[in-house]
Amino acid sequence: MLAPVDHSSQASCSRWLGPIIVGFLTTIFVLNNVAPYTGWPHVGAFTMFSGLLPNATNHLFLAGLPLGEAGTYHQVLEVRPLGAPSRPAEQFARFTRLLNAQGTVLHINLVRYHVSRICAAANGAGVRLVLRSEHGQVQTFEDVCAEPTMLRYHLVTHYPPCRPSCLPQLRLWIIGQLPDG
Amino acid sequence: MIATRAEPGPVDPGAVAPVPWYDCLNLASDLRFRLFTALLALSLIHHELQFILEQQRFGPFLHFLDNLRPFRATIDWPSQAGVGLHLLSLLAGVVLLLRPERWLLGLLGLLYPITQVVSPDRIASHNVLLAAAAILVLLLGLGEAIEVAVRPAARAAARVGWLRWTRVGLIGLCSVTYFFAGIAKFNTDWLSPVDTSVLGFVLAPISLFRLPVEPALGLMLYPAIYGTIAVELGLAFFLPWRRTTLVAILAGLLFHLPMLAQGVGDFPTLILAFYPLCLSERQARELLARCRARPARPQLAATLGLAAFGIALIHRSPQPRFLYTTSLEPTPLLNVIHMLLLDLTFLLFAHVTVVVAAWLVERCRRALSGRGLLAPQPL
Repeated sequence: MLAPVDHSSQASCSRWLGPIIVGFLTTIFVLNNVAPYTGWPHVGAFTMFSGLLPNATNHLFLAGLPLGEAGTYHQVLEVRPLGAPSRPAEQFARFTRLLNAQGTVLHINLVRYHVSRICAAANGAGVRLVLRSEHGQVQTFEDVCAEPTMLRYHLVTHYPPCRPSCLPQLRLWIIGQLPDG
Repeated sequence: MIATRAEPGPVDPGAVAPVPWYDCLNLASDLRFRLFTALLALSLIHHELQFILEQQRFGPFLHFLDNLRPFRATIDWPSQAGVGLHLLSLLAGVVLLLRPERWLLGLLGLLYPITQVVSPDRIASHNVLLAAAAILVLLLGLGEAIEVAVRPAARAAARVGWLRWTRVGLIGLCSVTYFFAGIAKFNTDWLSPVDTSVLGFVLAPISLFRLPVEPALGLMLYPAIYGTIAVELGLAFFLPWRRTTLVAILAGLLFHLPMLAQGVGDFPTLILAFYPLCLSERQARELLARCRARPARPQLAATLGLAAFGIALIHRSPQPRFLYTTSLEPTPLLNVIHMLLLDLTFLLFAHVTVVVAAWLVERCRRALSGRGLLAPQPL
């Protein structure tokens, strides 16, 4: 038979610290999986093979909680440097022309990433940018480099860059074969 | 008789031989964690091999960060740093497979998230699950190590308590994963017989056996669409429940084999790694013993038949072939290793599936004969 144990001195602090750590990590994990339905930035939520659209508009009972803009896509109607043209601006303009010809739209985070690259390419660079949302709303930025909100992008967030997929166009870009026109 | 409870009994600190504090870094004492860690390592190897193959579609792997930077948001590090981190991650997978220990898994909790930041365009759901599991093991392992260092007298209680919470946390991650995977499928695309991504999984065996497409699809498609949701939501609740764990494990294995047969090795291997944690220690020992035992002829035939079917599907599936044929950097050796690993992984899980099925059949027969419904079976 076991001798009585003095639990006051032997009890592990895992009894209260364990659930706190587990609860904290599980909550983050759950929030990341809730994010596709709320439009919050997320990464690697469990929606694989499900056919769920990035903004979950096709979900039967969790669609339409637009608390963030993670599922926002735009068509880039115009991207034009105000000063001397730079390589990032020229490449992005060619890429968006190719996408426009096929009716493909770009994720807003990706647009911001490219805008920040173009604006950082030269001191005092300016860019005129015209976007059209999927609902047809047109937004014009006479100098998007002066719009701090358009220069901030999420580094780690998971979303398809284009809709429908732009993998073939991306490949053309990477291997340097984007068409000029 | 199969044990249904395996929680450790009361701890007598006086009965525990003195061991150094760093023993708490070792999970070797619990078979369930060893199995979990080894399978997680296998999944990590799958992921890294596939990652290399995917990057080679855009150019040499050695320059993958430079290739992607003009297009996708990546951290501003040189390609060599990204390549180094991913190769280190691959090495960690191999080492963990050979030495499934807690401190190595904890180190992965530090390394793996950094590896993901250098390739943020390729953070799939299984990457997040793997990172979350490794971070959980790291934090709770550190908790135990610190407590043992500060209060050596509480070592035994600490070991039991921290390991128990590690298990609870990991099983929780597995349940949440299945729950959200099931919930996500309540959408018009998944439920549409035309757009559903389950089509690929159903068409593969139809094509292999040259079955008439229309009637076979009519028979299989709707059960596959609704069955997937039912199984995923069911696994979220029945895997952790000890009374249903074994049945849920069989259902989960049968559910994930088709995905493995499609040449997707990383996610199924990772999620199946969580299954041993749901067993009692005694069940885990018995499962391992049954897997190692010489199989009876019908069991061997079932394993070989299932494995042959799966491997035939893997070799015909579009995913690995797409990666090999679109690579801008031909790497035949890597392709062979990747394909071989997919085959061996399928063989492993086919074997475990048949073993678990045979075990359950044996339990059913025993239960029925115990109630006098069947004649006693010879041993």
